[in-house]
Amino acid sequence: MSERISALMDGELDQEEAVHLIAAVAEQSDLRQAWATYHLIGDVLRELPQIPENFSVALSARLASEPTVLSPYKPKRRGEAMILPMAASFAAAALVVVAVFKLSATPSVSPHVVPQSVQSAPIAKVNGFRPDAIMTQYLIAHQEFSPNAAMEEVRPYQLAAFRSSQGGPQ
Amino acid sequence: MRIGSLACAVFLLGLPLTSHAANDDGMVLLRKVAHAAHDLNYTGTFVYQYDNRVETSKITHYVDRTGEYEKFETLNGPLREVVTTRKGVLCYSSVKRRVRVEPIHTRSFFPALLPERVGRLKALYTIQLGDEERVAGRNCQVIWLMPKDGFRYGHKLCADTQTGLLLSAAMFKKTPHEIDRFSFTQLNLKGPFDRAAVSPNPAWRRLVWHRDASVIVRGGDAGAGWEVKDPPPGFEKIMELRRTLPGKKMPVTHLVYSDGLVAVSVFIEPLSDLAHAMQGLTSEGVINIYARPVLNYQVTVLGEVPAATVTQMADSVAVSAH
Repeated sequence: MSERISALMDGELDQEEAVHLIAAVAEQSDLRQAWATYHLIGDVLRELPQIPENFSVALSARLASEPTVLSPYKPKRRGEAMILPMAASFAAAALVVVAVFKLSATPSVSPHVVPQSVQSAPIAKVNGFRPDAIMTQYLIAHQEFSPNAAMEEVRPYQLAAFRSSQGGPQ
Repeated sequence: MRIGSLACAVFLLGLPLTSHAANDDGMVLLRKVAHAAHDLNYTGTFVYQYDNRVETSKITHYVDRTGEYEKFETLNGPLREVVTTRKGVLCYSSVKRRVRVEPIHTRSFFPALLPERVGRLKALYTIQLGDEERVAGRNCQVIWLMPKDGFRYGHKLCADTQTGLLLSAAMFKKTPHEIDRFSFTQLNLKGPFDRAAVSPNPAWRRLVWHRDASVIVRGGDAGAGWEVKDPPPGFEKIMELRRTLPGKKMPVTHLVYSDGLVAVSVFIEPLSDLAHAMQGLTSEGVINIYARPVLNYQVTVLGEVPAATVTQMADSVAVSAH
């Protein structure tokens, strides 16, 4: 199914297939999730400007505050009847999907799991300076500029190897 | 032992003894080395040794008319992959089951260790050609970079004699004692090469994606006004970031300085965001760390440099007057 969503995004499905798949995406949350994720990847890979972090929250708030416009019902001719509601519900689904995805992605940002060894390793006190969890964050950030390590995590054994000596690496 | 093997090689193979070659020959080769890592297609396995540890990784580099692509993956320990494209850097962690997106295009891996402007190294290091060695089944030319002062370590590079690609790179305090070493164990320069080999794994689409929200402070921006007033010779600021760190309410100022070969990071954040102030010198693997409070801020400087370098930088950190 994910391949077909991918194909849909790339405009490779014919109209009938596309309509069916869009209906399925609108109904099933896992497909909506896949749809949102694919778009995020696509955006990253296409180097589009990222949407702001609180975009979905702000959008939801604005949608909630929008007045509901009541207008007389106007029957449509049969020909158009399918496409427009489908497109509209699809657009709505896409908005919901963005919100769902952003909300579910948020927790991964804030609580950082510090490797066990940070707390448990016997860390030497040097000049009254005790390296702690913040140092782990600094090391991870520094690694982006250092070819010595490619990681978004400091290796646990590295942390255990905090030295007590004042000199440089031996 | 090195002298012995050199003499042996010269005697047996009749190779020219080039250890007294002028700086200029070294510079010509260094330029070739710097370009080779970006211009060639290659895939290989290399080891990174430090602190009695060995890590094995695979690197694949692919370049075509549309640009450079690179994929790095760990071969021992938890699987981590970093895919670098022109559009961004994707970091996959099998432990976290997630993909982190870095908007910053700074990641560089062995063998791409040399800066674009190789010329600046001349003022900081004495560059000499050494003997020929053999790495990953290929012949390579040794290039020594001996530091001209005590603010940086020395480097011993070995460049493939055919292509100039770096086959090994070691950092040392005093020869022959090496602090760390990268070394190819297997290298394919012939192909076939395929763009698919450097593409993100399609299965990543199903994982949680996390975007690094750190922001690069462009030149001219007000920034936080922090700077290192008196960095050791050759260290220039290459980037300033407002970095979002997990568990931090406020972004942390991150200044990055480099002498062309190594990077030094300067972190500045309000003391109120810390459990306690840090003061003093320590080291972590090949990295020296010096921390001290400045006004109401914690300043921490760290990098793959001698203690004197992080200390001097931290001691001259100040808020610039606007």
